[in-house]
Amino acid sequence: MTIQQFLPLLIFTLTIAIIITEKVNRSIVAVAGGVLMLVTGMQFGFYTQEQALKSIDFNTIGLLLGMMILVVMLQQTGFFEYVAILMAKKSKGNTWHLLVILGSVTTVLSMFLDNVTTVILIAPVTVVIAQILGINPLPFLISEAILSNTGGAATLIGDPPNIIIGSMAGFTFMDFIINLMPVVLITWVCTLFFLKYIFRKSFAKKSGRIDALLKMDAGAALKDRKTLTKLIIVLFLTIMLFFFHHLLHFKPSLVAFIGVAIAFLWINPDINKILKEIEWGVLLFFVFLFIGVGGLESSGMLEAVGKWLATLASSNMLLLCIIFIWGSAIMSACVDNIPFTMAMVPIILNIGNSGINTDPLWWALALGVGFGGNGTPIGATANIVVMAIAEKNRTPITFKMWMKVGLPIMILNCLVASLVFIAIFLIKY
Amino acid sequence: MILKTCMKKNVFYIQEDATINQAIDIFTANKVGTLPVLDKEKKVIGVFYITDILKIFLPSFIEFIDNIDFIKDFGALSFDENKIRMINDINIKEIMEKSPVVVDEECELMRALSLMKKHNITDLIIVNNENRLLGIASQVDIATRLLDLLRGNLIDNKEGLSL
Repeated sequence: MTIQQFLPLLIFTLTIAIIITEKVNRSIVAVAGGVLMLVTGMQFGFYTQEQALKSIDFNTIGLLLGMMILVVMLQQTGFFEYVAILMAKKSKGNTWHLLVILGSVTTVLSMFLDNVTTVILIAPVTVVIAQILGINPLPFLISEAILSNTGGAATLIGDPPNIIIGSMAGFTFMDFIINLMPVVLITWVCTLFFLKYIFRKSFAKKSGRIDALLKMDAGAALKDRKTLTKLIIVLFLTIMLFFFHHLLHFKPSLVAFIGVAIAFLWINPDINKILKEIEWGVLLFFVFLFIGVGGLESSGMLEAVGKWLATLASSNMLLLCIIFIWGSAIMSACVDNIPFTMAMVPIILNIGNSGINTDPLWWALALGVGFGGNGTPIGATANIVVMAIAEKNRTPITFKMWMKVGLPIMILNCLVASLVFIAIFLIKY
Repeated sequence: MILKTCMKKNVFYIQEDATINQAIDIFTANKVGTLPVLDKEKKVIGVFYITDILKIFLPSFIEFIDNIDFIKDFGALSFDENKIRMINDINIKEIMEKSPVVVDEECELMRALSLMKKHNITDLIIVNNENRLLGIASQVDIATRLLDLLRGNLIDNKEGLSL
């Protein structure tokens, strides 16, 4: 290994390692890591500023920003509380029905809106509902995070790894629906019943104050009905555009911003109020991770890995896919799934350069990364959000508690995915 | 005009090593909501509000949910036995507010009211230069005195009356 290959590997590994320890804010680490990678690369001759700029996938950034804006506008109307309460009342206090309802709401929303924000907004209302009913909120919080992680893997816009994969591999919104929705749906249902089994003791307890739940006024949670109506229409149009964006040759980020532009013009909101709520730290995190991975790629490290894996891909694609599912899941559970996905992209692209059809590998990566997020409390940002809310509520979730639920589910999810892959390969070949 | 003219000199207070139950006794017996906390040398080292106790009972979600208008009935949260039991284990020193806002008795009424608005407090503690308790004044005490003076100033058209 030359110094030009060792240094980028060292810098990138260090960046990821510090991010995992959570001792420093991840955006700060990403910016520092990216900048260090570029400056070192320029010094040692393995990375240029032009390459760094090229490595930033603005389609991903644009899509993230566009959807963030729409979600913030939606949140300011009280939409999430409104839907959660409206749907929760239909459970009539039955704890199992409540879980299915709240879990479904979170999942459907997180398939089209940002996973993390959806959980951030549904979790507090979940705590309120649980506490008023006199039942433990933890099973609901954990389930919401897990179900939204699992469900979010089904669509192009459902979770950031999919956005990255879609953008770099050139998959359309429909490609994701056709290839991933079926397997995710099956997995989701299995996960739901597994959760019913794991939390069976909690669900056996009857909630005491069903009357208090039924008295909740969903309409009172709705702060701005007029704006919400307009936003729902804009979102509906945007999602329709997503379904057909490949026919129009519109990149997903453009679709998102068409929605934003229409929403802005129609609603004429207070821009500063919206911009204040945007998570700029997350966007910085993405931009500078792209730069960091770019350094790894331009040093040739990832190309080498790709070439090495290509031999296995051509001899036994199914085996490599299974390895990808489980390997990605484990990595995604331990390491942040964004940099891992970003690093895998050039590797898979390089495998494709040898003429191999890499489609199955992309799907395996998407599923593995998506499902792996359930395994540990740090596996997905949605999990971290849930842990934080549980902590604030003085009913904390311990690492052990999470793993008891999340790890079996991660294994279950990967198992289902593997079986589906095996079935498809047997049928196709 | 200064605080000396409208403060209450007979102040209810509590010692730092007292228990919450003792504080509750004083609150309920005298219908007050603010207790300066004194150390062994009778110096003001903190302040204990009745709302500090209530914070233990109020549901935690109040801190992280914006709009609670939709909750018409607090259901199982209305009466939580565990929380009632919790208060016996806590010392006021643990949940009192340290470094309270204090002023001396020469403090102007305008300044007093401004400080109370900024710090969001309803009762202002008055101490001497050794930090010993001299009196207490509520927003109502100070505001009514100020309004009286302002009105008196307008009717008699006295100019240059300093407040």
